[in-house]
Amino acid sequence: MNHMADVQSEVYKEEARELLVVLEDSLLQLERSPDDIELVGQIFRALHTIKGSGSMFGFDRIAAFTHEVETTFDLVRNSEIPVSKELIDHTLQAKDYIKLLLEAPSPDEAPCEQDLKTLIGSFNKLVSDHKEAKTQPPPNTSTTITSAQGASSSNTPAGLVTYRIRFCPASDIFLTGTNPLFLLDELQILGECKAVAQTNALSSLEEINPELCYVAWDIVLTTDKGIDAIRDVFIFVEDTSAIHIETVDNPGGAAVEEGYKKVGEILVERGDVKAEELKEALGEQKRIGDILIDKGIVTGDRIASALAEQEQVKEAREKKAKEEAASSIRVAAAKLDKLVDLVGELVTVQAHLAQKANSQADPELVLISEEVERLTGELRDNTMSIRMVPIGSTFGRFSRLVRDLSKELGKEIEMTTEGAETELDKTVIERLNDPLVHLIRNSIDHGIEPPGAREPLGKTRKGLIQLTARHAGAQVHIEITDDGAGLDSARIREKAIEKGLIPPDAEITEKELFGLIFAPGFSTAEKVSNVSGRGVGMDVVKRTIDALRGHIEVESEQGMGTTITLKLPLTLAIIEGLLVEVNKDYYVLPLSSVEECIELDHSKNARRQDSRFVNLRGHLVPYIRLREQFGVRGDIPDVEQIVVTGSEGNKIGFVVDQVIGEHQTVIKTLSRVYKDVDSVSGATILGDGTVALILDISKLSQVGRCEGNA
Amino acid sequence: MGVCDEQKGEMMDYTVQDGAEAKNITFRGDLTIQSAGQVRRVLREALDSCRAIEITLKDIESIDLSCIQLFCAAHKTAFKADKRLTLDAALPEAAARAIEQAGFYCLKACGNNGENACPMTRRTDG
Repeated sequence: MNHMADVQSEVYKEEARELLVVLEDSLLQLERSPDDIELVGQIFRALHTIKGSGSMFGFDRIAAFTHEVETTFDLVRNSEIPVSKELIDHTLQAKDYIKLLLEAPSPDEAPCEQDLKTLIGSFNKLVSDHKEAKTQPPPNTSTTITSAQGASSSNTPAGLVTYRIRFCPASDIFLTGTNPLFLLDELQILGECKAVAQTNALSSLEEINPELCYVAWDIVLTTDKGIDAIRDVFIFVEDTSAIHIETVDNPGGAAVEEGYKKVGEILVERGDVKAEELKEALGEQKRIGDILIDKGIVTGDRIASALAEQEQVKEAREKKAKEEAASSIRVAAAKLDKLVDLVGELVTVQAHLAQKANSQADPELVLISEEVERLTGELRDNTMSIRMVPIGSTFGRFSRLVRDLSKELGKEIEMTTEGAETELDKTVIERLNDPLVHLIRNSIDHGIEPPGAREPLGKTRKGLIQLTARHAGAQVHIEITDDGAGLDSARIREKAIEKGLIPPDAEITEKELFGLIFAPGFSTAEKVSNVSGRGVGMDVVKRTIDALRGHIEVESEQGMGTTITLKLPLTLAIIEGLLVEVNKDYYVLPLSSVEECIELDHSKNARRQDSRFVNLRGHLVPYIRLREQFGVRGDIPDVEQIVVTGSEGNKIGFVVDQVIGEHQTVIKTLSRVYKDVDSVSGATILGDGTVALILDISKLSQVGRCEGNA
Repeated sequence: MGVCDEQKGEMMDYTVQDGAEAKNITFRGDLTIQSAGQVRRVLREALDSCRAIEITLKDIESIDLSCIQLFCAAHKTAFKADKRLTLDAALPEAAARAIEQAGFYCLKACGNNGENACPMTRRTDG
C-alpha cells in the first residue's frame, strides 16, 4: 500500500471510529425511545457511511458485514421490523465486531470468523422471523424517508464543489452483474446527490429486451471529495459506459458567478438545446421548460435534471454560506503537541526578554517586551484552548458499559450525565477513561443493590448512576454518584486493620477511612467477580489521578449511596504554581494545593528547632523542609516560610527560604534519567533560564509521612 | 392465475382481475431481472387486451432497475396507444426508495400532460 493509500485508510479508520461512537450512542438512545424515527435514521446513516467509505478505501470485509446490518436497519427504517431488544443487542455486538475488523492489522483479516457467522445469522433470523410473522403490509407505505441524502448533507464540510455527471451505462450492464443503482448509491455517499433518469432510449414494451439497460442518468453531485473520488465510483464500468463529469459550481473557487444559471443556460451549456432554439423559445411567454417540451426540442427528463442542477447549486451555495462560520478542520494530535511545545519555548523566551527589558531601564524596550508578553499570553491561551475537548464523548461510552454490566449482574441501572460540554485537555480526557471505567464498574458491582434488595429499602427498582462534570476555577470536578448501598465504614476499618494499614486503636476520620479504599490490594468484597472485587483498580485509579495532578475525594452515606469526586487540572501543559526559593534553587508548588503561607520565625521557635510541627490556629500541622529533602546547603535564614498545602484532606507544610509569588508556567517533562524521582512531577524554565522543579505534593507528603513514622 | 419461478430461488407471482373500468394486475414477491421477462409478458398481454390498467405493487418485496424500466416502457406504450396505465400509490417503502434512487422522479419524457399521470411521478407529486 502506498503512502497516500495509508493516509486514506487512517482517515477512514478515524472517521469510522467516530461513527461507531455515534452508532453506539444512538442505539442506546433507541433502546430507551424505540419510536424515535430520527434515531433509526441516524443509525442507518452511520452504517451506510461506514459501509460505503469502507468499500471505497478497500475495507471490503467491513463493507460486506456492515451491509448485512444496514439491510436489517433498512427494514427497521421502513417500519417493517420493530425495534426490539434483540435488534439492539445484535447491533451493539455488530458495532463491536466492526470495531474489531477496523483495528485488525490488515483489512483482509477477519477476527473470530465464527462470531461473524453467528451475528449474520442473528440478523437474518430477525428478518426471517419478521417475514413469517408478517400478515399485513405495513400501514402508510407511501411515507418517504430520505436516507443517503440526509447522511451526506449532515456531513458536508467546506470546499464543496458541484459536479454534473452524465452516466450512460452499457446496455448489457445487468448481464455483467453490475447494478447501476449501487453506483448511484456510492455517489450519494460522496455528498448531496440527485440523479434524474433519462429514458429516451426506452421505447415501447414490444421492442425492449428486459435483460438490457435502457436508462442513463443526469446526476448533480455536490461534494468536497474531488473529481477523482467520483471517477473511482465508476472505475469498474468506465471502459464500457459513457461517463462525462464536469464542474458546474465551485463556491470556494476564485470566480463565483453572481446569481444562478437559468434552466435555459444550463441546457445550452450541456448541449441539449441550441442557443438559437433557446432564443426563439424565449420570445414566447410560457416557462422555458414548458416551451421547449412543447416544441419537442428537449424531453421532460432533461428539463427535470436541469432544474435539479439549478436547485442543488443554489442549496450548496446557501449551505456553504451557513457553514463558513462553523467550519472546522481535522488536525493530527502530534501537531498540536508540537505547537504547545513551541509556545512553551516562546513563553520562556518572552519571560527572559521581560526580565532583560526591566533590568535595562529602556522604556522603548519595556514597551516592546510588554507587547510581546501580551501576544504570547494570548497565543498560549489560544493554543491551550485548541487542545480542549468536551468530556461528553467519554461519558457517552459509559452508557454501553452500564447497560452491559447491569444486564450481566441482573441489576436495573440508569445512567445520567450532566455537564457533558465541560472541556478538558485532550490528554487528561484520554487518561481519564480507565479510572472512570473502574469507578463505574465498582458502583455497579458493589454500590447499586439488585432490584429485589432495593425495594424493601424504599428505593426504586432502578438504581441511578450520575456522572457530572463542571468547572471549578482552574480545575474540573468529575463526580460519580450512585444511590446504592454506600461504603461500610466498619468493614473498611476491619479490613484496614487486617491488612495492617492502620493500627487497631487508630483514631481516624471517616474521610481518612474512605481514603484507604485506594490502597493497593484493598477490597471489602467477599466475592470476587469478573467485574471487580480483587482490590486491583482503585489503587490504579488513584495512581492515574495523581499522575494527572488531580485529587480524589470520597463521600458516602451507608444505605444512601456514594459520591466519588475527581478533581483535575484543566490542562497538563500549564500549571498555576507558587514559586518558592531555597538558597537560589527554585521550586513550584501547584497552586491548587496551596492553602496559605505562614512564617517560621526561629527566634520565636528556637526551642522547637527539631520539631516537625507548627501550631496553626490550634492545630498541629506537620511540615517538611525542602532544604533537607533536596539536600540544599547554605545558611538558613532567621525567618523561613511555610507553605501550607492540603492533600487528601491532610494539611502539610513545606518550609522554604522565600515565597516569590504566583507563577503560571509551561510544564517540561523530565528526562527518563529522573523517572525514579517521585517527589518531582516536572520542571519549568524561568525567565532568566533557571530551571525550577515542580513538586509532587502528594508524593512528598507520603515521603514525609514515612520518615515521620520511621 | 399465477407464475412461480423457483428455479433460482426467486419468486414473483401476480393476479389479474377484470374490474368495471380497468384491469388490475397485482404483483407480489421480488421483481428483479430474473422475473423481468415474466413482468414484460404480463404487461404486454394486459395492454393488448384492454384500455385501462391499474398496477398494484403494495405486496412486492423488492424491485430492481430492470423492472422499473419495464413499468416506464409500459407507460410510454400505453400513452402512445391512447390507453391508461396507472400505478397504485401504495408502494412498499423499499420499492418507493428504489424508484427514487433510480432517479425516476418525473417521467414526462413519455410526453403525457398530466391526465395520464406517470406512475413514477406519484413519488414526488404525491
